Amino acid sequence: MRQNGNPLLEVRDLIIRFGGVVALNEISLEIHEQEILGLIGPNGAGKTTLFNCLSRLYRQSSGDILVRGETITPLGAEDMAARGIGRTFQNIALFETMTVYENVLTGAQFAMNGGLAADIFNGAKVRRERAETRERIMHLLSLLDLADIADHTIADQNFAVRKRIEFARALAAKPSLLMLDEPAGGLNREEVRHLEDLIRQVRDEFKVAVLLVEHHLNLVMKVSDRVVAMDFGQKIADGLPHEVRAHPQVLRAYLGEEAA
Amino acid sequence: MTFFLEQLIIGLSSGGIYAIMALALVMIYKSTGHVNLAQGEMAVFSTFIAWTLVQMDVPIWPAILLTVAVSFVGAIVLERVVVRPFAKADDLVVVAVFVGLFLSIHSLAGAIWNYEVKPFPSAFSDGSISLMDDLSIRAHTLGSLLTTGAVLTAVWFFFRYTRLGLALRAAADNHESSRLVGINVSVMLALGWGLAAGIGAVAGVMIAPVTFLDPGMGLAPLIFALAGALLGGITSPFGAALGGLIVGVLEAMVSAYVPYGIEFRELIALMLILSVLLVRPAGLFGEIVTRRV
Repeated sequence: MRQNGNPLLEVRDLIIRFGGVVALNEISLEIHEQEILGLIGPNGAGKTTLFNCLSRLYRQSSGDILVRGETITPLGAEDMAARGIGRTFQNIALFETMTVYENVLTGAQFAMNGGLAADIFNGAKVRRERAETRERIMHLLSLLDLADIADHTIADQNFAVRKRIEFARALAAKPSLLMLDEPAGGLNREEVRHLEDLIRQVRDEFKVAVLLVEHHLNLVMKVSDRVVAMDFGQKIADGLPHEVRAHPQVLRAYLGEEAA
Repeated sequence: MTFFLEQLIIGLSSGGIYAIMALALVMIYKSTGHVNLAQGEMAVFSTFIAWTLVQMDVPIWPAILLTVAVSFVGAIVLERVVVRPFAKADDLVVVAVFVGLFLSIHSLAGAIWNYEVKPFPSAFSDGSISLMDDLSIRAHTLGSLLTTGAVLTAVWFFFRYTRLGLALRAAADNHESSRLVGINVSVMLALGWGLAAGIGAVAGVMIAPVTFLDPGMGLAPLIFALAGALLGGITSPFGAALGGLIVGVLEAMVSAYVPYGIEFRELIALMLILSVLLVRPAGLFGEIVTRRV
C-alpha cells in the first residue's frame, strides 16, 4: 500500500451530461484508505452514474478522477482492476455459463495483467500459483458461505447467493476500493444484518475502502464512517452519518418539502 | 455387423469434422449472438491455401500447420475490419454482413482458384487399415477421426484449464463484467474468430480429400455442422460437439441403410434443424437464454 498523502480516491468537479440532461453536476468527493463511505440519495440522484463513471464504463463530460493522486480519466474499464478498483452491480452481472468457483477465479486471474499465454508453457510456476490462487479463493468462498456450492453453476443460484458470489469475485482481485451497488437490494432482514457485519469484516480483513450505494438507510448509517448524500446529480451533504441524517436538504430530498 | 461397424466409424469420422465445425460456430455464436454463415466458406478458403502450399511442394503436415496459422491471423483481421464495425447493429444488419461475407469469400475463392474440382491429398497414407478380419477402414477415415478427436480434446483442455481460455469464456459471456475484472474484451473477441477459423481450417483439410476441393465444398458441411450445433445446443460447446458426432453417424446410417439415402442426406440435416427448432429450440444441452431488458 502506497501512502503519499493523497486520498485513495478523489473525484474533482465531475460533470456528466447525457444529451441535454445533466446526470452529475460538479460532484467532488474523497475516499480514504480503509474508509467506508456511504452514498445515499433518492432514485435518479446519479449514484449509479457516478459508479459507472468511477469504473470507467461511462466517460465524464468534464472533471477528473484520481486514484492515489494519479488520474484515471484516460483509462478504460479493463484497467480498473489493476488499479485496485472493484465493484458489484445492482442487477448482478455474473458469468452465467460458469461455475461459482470459476466466476470468482476470473476476479483473481486477470487483475494483475500477466502474460495470458505464459501458463501454457511454464508448468511448475503455474502449478504453484494455481494452488495459491485456489487456496485464496476457497478462503473467500468460505468467508461468504459459498464453499459448499463452489462447483455448482450460476444458473441454479438465488438472488442473495448471486450477490455474495459477485462480492467474492470483486474481492478476489485484491482491490483497495470496493464499490458495492445496492448490496442489500432484495435481501431479507436477516440477510441485511449479516451483510452489515460482512462489510465491516471485509474492510478489516482485506484492508479495503468501501464505497456503498444503498437505499437501505439504516444499513448505510450503521456501517459507514462517513456519508455523502446526492440529489438531482448534486452533492447535498457530506459528513458523519448522524450529521447527514439530520441535514435539512437530505430530509427534504427524502421526505418532501414540508418535512424540512 | 461388420458393415454396421464400418458405417459407424465412417459416420464418427465425418461427425468429428462436423463436431469441430459446430464448435467453431458455437464460439462465434456465443460472442456475437449470431451464426457465422461464412464459417464453411472460410474453411474452404483455408483449404485452398493448403492446396496452393502443397502445389508448391510443401509437405502436407507443414502445409496444414501453416494454413491454420494463416487462417488464425486472417480471421482476426476479418473480425476487426468487417465484423467489429457492426457489433452494435440490428440483427438483420449483422445477418446481412454474414451473408455478404459468405458470398465474398466464396467468389474470391472462385476468382483465385477457379471452380474446377480439384483432388486434395490426404494427410495420411492412401491405404486402408485392417481393424478386424473382415473390417478394414481407409487410413484417412481413421486419421481424420483421430485428428478431430485431438482438436476437441485440446480445445476442451484449453477452455477448461488455461487463463486465456477462461478469459475467452468470460468475454463471450458478459462484456462489462469481463472488462471490470481486467479482461481486454476486444482482443478476446478477435482471438475467438482466429480460433474458430483455425479449427475450421482443420475441418477443411480433413474433409477435402473425401469430397474433393471446389469453392462450393463448404455448404454441405456447414449445414451438417449447424444441425449438430442446434441439436446439441448452440450455447453449449460440449452439446454442439456431441451433436456434430450424432449428425455424422446419422448421415452415414441413412446413406447406408435407406434406399437412395445418399441422395437426401442433406435433407435429413435440414429436417433435423427444423425439428429441433420446433420441439426443443435450446437443443439437448443448451440453455434457454433470457435477458433482462
